[in-house]
Amino acid sequence: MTPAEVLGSRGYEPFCANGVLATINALADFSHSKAMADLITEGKWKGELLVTLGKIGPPRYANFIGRYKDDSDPEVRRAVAAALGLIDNEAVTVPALIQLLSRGDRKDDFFVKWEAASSLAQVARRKGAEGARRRLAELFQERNGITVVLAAGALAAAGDARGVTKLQELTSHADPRVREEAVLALGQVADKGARGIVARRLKDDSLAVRAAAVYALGRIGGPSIVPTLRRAVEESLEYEKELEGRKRRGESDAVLSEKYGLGEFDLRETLQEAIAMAEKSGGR
Amino acid sequence: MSRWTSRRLLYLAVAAAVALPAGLGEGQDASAVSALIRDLKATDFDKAYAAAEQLRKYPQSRAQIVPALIEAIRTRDWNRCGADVRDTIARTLGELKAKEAVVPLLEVVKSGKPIEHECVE
Repeated sequence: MTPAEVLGSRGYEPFCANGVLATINALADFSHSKAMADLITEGKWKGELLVTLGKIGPPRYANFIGRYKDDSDPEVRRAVAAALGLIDNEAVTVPALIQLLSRGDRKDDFFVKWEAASSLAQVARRKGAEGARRRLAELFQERNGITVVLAAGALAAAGDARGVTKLQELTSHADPRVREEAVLALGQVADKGARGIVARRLKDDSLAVRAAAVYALGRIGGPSIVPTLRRAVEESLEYEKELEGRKRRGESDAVLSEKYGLGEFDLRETLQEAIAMAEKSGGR
Repeated sequence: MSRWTSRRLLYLAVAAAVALPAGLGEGQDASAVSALIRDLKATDFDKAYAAAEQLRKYPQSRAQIVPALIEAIRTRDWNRCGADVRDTIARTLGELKAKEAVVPLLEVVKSGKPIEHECVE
């Protein structure tokens, strides 16, 4: 697994395995909203139909979709987060999305939060969406580091400099998962000004953060970064051996994985992808 | 035979040579589509599934195919793997951009008939 693959796997694709719902999603228009809402109320294929309703429904359906934000199934909440990013009704969608982004810290909440952040980034990119950007910046005060880093990433993706500044600051957060997400987000928004800050993470305590930094530098560093990346990965492979030795000597698997990111990414493959990206961006 | 007449005959011959195979091709397509629609109505999964897949290759016969697909997905059941046939019919309707299929597809969802893959990967 590489950071690019992990980011790719976060894309929400509820229709790929169901031709009937995929075709409805592709062909339906606003005139089908009522029939779709009735099916959702009956509890049939809630998640998928909520996404389609978000795509085709008139703005008033934002209230209907928002009602499912407290559903017990995280897949339905994730669908609500995706749907609210598609429907044009900022007054209703932004508060609901902010809730979805800021709540929960269980593992399966992550994808709900991620989707909410992606939708907020879409909303915040629209002209005159200062309200959404302000609400995202307010989330910087939250205690949950993942909420903060996803809010910063969304703001940065919407082109707001406050998001980029916050992401740069979060690259030295105490929680390695937050550092990792911050570095990945800086790579995604291709913030060239963050090159020095991200390069420092090539010597992070966590291998996962190091791999994220290799990925990000591949996107923002240009061809001149390649020797630095090769050297960093060589050193990281040595570090990986050292951590594996600690594992063999009985150190907790969970600690080595959570604190030091052991086994999360394939460093060699990450390097190859980063080199390919850096060389491709040669002309830019 | 005047030069004028012989030239007209030549044009006629060329036009016939071009038109005849095209007409034959259309005729062949029409009979292939009819056969596939017959297979679609079969209760046998293999026949119906293959027919639903093949029908997407005949967009020129859309007017004949779309109602047949809609009728099949609304009313038919198959001896096994019905969800896979429904899935394939729906995808073919999608490729044919059959907007008129949305309401029938929503009815299928409402009916509670299986629409998730059971057999085919």
